[in-house]
Amino acid sequence: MIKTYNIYFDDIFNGINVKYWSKVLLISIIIISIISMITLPSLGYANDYGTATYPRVIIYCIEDYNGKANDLERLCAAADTFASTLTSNSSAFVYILQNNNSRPIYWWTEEIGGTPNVYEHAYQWHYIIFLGHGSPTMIYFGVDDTHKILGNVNYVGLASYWYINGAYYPEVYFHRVTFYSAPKWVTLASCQTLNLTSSQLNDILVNDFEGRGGLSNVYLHGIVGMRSDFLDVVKNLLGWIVYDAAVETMKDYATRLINNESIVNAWSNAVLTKQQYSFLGFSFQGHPAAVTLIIQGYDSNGNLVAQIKYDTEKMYTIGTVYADPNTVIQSYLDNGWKVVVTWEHIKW
Amino acid sequence: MRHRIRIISLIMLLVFIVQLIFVASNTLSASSMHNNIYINNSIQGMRLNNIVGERFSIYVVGKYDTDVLASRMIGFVWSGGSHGFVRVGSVRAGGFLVDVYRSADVKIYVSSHGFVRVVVGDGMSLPFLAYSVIDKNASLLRGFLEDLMGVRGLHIVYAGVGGEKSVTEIVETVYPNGTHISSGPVVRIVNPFDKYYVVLGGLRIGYPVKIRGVDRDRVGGGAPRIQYLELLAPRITSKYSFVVTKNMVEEIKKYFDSAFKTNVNVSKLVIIDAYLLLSEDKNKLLPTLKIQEKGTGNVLWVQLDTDKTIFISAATYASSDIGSDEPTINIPTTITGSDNELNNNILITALIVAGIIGISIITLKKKRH
Repeated sequence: MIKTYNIYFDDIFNGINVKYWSKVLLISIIIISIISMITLPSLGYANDYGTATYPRVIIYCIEDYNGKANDLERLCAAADTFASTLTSNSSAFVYILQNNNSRPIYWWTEEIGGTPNVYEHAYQWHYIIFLGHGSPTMIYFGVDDTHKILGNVNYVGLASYWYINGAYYPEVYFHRVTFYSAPKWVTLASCQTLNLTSSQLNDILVNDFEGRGGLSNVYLHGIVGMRSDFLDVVKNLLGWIVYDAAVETMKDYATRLINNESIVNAWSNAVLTKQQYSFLGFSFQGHPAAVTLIIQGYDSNGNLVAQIKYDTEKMYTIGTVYADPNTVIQSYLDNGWKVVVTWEHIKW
Repeated sequence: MRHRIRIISLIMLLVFIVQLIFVASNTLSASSMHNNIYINNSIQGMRLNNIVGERFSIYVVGKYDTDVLASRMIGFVWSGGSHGFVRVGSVRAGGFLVDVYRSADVKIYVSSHGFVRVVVGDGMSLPFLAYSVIDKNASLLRGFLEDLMGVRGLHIVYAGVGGEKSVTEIVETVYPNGTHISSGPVVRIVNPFDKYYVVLGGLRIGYPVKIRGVDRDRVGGGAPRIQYLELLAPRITSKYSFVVTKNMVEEIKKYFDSAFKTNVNVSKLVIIDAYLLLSEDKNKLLPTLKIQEKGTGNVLWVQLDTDKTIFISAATYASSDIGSDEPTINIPTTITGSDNELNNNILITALIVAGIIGISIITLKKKRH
C-alpha cells in the first residue's frame, strides 16, 4: 500500500518571517561582496608557494621624468593597453603605478633603503613590469629616493650589491617577503637593460635570483627585456605619431599571454614583430633578451629523471606554472638526485 | 562618345584603386636576430655642427638583369659549379620588387637594385663551417663584389658572428652530499652566420652581408660552399661628391624642432650613426645620418644629397644611450606562399579588372539603347 503525503510550501516556512530573513540574506550578500572586492587583491592565494587564484601583476610606467631625463610619450598608455588587454580575457589583477608613483624604493631590498613590506613594492607581486628609461642592468625613475649608500638617486641597479656593516647585500633581490608574495617574472620594457656582459649576467644571477644566498634562495623564474633599444614612438615631420610602437608591443605581449604562449615566447615574439619600423623599404628591428633557468635531476646512475624548463612557463591560470626554483631544487636533492641548474641568457 | 570617355575614366580609376589595395596589403614579417656592431667612421659621435665642410660621396646605382644576377650568385655559392634553376615569380617587399628563382634544393631572391638572398635547402641544416674560415681574409668575397658592383679596391670589414639567437649558459651542479660546482659561461649561437660590411668612401653600406658556410668535406662532391647568403650590393655606375653646408645643418635642426615640437640647441645634436642607404627612388646610395639630441631618447634620420637634406623619420627611445642601426629587408620566408601570393594576386586582379570592364561594357551598351 502506498501512502501519499501532501506537503505545502507554507509548512516549510511555518513560524518563519520569510520577508525578514530575505532582507537579512540580501544585506549579507552585499556586505560579503564589498569585503571580497577590498580584500581579494591581497588575499586570494591558494597555497604555500605564493600562488594566487589569479595572476597579480604590477606595472611601473614613467613618462614624466621631471627633467632628470627626456620625457617619454606613450609608455603609460602602453601599460594601460597591456592591462586592459590582459584583464579582458583572463582573471589577472593589474595594478599600475604611473610617473612619480613609481619609485626606486619599490625595487630595492630593505637593507639598501627599500620598503618591501608595502603593497606597491615589486616583491609583493607575481609579475612585475617596468616601462621607462634603461641601460645595461639599470632602470631609471622620475623621482629620487634615499639609497643607504648612494644618497638621493632615481635609479635601480639590477647587478649592484653593497657592503653594509660587514656584509654584502644585493640592491635588488626578487624573493618572498610575505606568505602571499613570490615574484615569478620581471618584464623590462626599457632600452638595453638585458644587454649584459658575462660579469653583469653573473651579478644579476647572484643578486636578483639568489639574493647572495645560493640556489636555495631562488624564487624568481625569469626576466625578459631588451638587448637593443626599446622604441616608444615613431613620428613624422609634423610631430605626429605614425607608429605607436610601445603600445603595439605591450598589447601584443598581453594578447600572446592570453593565447597561452610562454612568457619568453610572448615577449620575444611581441618585440620581434612590434618593435620594428620601416623607412626607404628597409626595416629596423628591436631585439629582445631573457634570463631564465633549466633545472635537471639525475639519479645515481647518471640518468636524467626530471627537468623543468622555465622558458616554457606560461602565465598563471592561463597555462602551466612551475613551483619556485628553490622548492624544485630541494625536492630533487631530497630524492638523492644530482641537480644541474643551467642559467640561460638568451639574446635574439 | 562622352559616355565612352566617362566609362574609360571609371575603369582606369577602379584599376588604380585595385592596384593601390594590393600594394598597400603587402605585409612584412619579422626578421632574424643580428648582433649590433658599430662600424666606426670619422663622423660617428661628431657634433652635427662639425660636419659643415665635410665631403661625402653619392653613388649612382644602376640596375641588374635579375636572371644574370641570380646566375652569378649561384656561381659564387657553388664556387663556379653550374646549378640549374628557374624563375618562379616575384614578391614585393618594402618597396622592392624581388624576383624568385628556385631549383630542387635552392631558393634565390634577387632585386634589380642588388638585394640578394640565397637559401640552399633550409639554409641551416648542411654541416656548418664558418665562412670566415673558408675565405680567411674575405678575398673571395671582395673579388666577387668588386666585379659585381663595378667598384675597384672595395673595402670589406668583418663584423663578427651573428645568429638567429645566442644563448649564454652558466651551469651550477649540486650533489646530494652538498658539493657545489659552477662552470661557464659558454655561448651557443643558434644558426650562426658571419657578418661583413661593404665600405664605400669611409661609410658602410648599412645593410650587412650575412654568410653561413658549409663544411664541404663532410658533405661530399657537388656541395655548395655557402648555405645561406644575404647582401645588398648595388651596381655602382658613377659617383660624385659634395660638401655639407651650414644651411643643411640648419635644415636638420628645423626638422628636429618640427618633429619633437621643441627648439633644440644645435650644439646638442650628435651624429650617433652614419651609413649609406638607397634613396627613396632607389637610384642612389645616399649618406644617411642618425642624429640624437644629446642626453635624450629623441632621434632623427636624414639623408644628405648634393644641396639638400631629406627628412626620413623621427623616433623616441626609452634611453639616451642609443645603439647603431642594422636595416633589413623583410622578404616573406615561405617561398611557396610568397610565389603563390603573387600569382594569386595577379589572378584576382585580372578577374576584378575583367569584371569591371564587363560591367562597364554592359552599362555602355544599355546607355546606347
